Amino acid sequence: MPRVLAILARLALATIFVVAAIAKLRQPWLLFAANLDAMQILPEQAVLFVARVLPWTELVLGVLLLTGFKLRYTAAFATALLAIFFSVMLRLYLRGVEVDCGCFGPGDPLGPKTLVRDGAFLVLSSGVTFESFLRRRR
Amino acid sequence: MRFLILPLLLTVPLLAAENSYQIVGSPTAPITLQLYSDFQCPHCKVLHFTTINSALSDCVAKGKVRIIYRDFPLPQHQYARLAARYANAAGRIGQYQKVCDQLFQLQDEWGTKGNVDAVVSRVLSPADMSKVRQAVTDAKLDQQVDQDMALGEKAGLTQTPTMVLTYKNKPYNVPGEVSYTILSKFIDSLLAK
Repeated sequence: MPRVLAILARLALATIFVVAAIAKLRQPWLLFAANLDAMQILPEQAVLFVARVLPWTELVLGVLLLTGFKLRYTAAFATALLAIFFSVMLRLYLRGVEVDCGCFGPGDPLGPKTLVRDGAFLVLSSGVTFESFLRRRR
Repeated sequence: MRFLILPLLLTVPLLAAENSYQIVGSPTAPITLQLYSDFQCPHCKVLHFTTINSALSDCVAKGKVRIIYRDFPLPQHQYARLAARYANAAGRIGQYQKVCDQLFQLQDEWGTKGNVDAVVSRVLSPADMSKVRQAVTDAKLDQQVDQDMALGEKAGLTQTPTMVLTYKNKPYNVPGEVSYTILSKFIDSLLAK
């Protein structure tokens, strides 16, 4: 991957995480908890914990990606996180559960568009991770 | 003075067009919960019998919240609008909750056969059922459902069930089958603001 393209991909990924974090942090955290609860995949205590922690995790991850600090680890963590999001969304969609994805705040219903978008984010993140490991080897 | 009037004017269209039977709770409750549901939607059924029942016996009884029931029949549910008409017709004779419970309880039965009338008649007296049958033909009932749907679309609804909680004129959309534990925490957090 050319150097410029790698930088652009990293910045794009960083922006996605920062925007998603800000969208969640701008709303009451219990509203995001309600979103998560409606997915019916986590027990209530876990819902409350994830709703509290996830937006800040996304924000920190976004800032780290933006700076390129410890890129291999942050990109790998971002990819793992996006893989979890994507598999949860796919499972819910296949089960026919109608929920709000909550990825970028309220009013973001889960559907084919959401899956394509989140899938594209996962591909992008995998590319950034792969490239960062490859660069380390050279 | 206009600073006082403006929020009131903004609130009127949001809460307009409801009938008294659609409202449960104190008119002075600080939070208004508008519940948009579709009688044929399975998640609405669960929410009705779990979260909303708990809300009625807790935060509504304590005067924190008032609930406004609204209809949002989805196009893919063939008999949902008919069911909404029956529920609203029953509301006119003070039997709204009883018919709502019955429609949700036997959702699978009338949802496949379309025998809404027969299902409702099992829970009402013959005299009441006769009044409901007369009322259900009233075109105003359809207009009322349309008004609810228009309000829902204006509120940005994307699915049923959706609860729209309004506190200090600010609406919060809570879609899906949310447990009462989480909902009550959210309500308390709003009131603590």
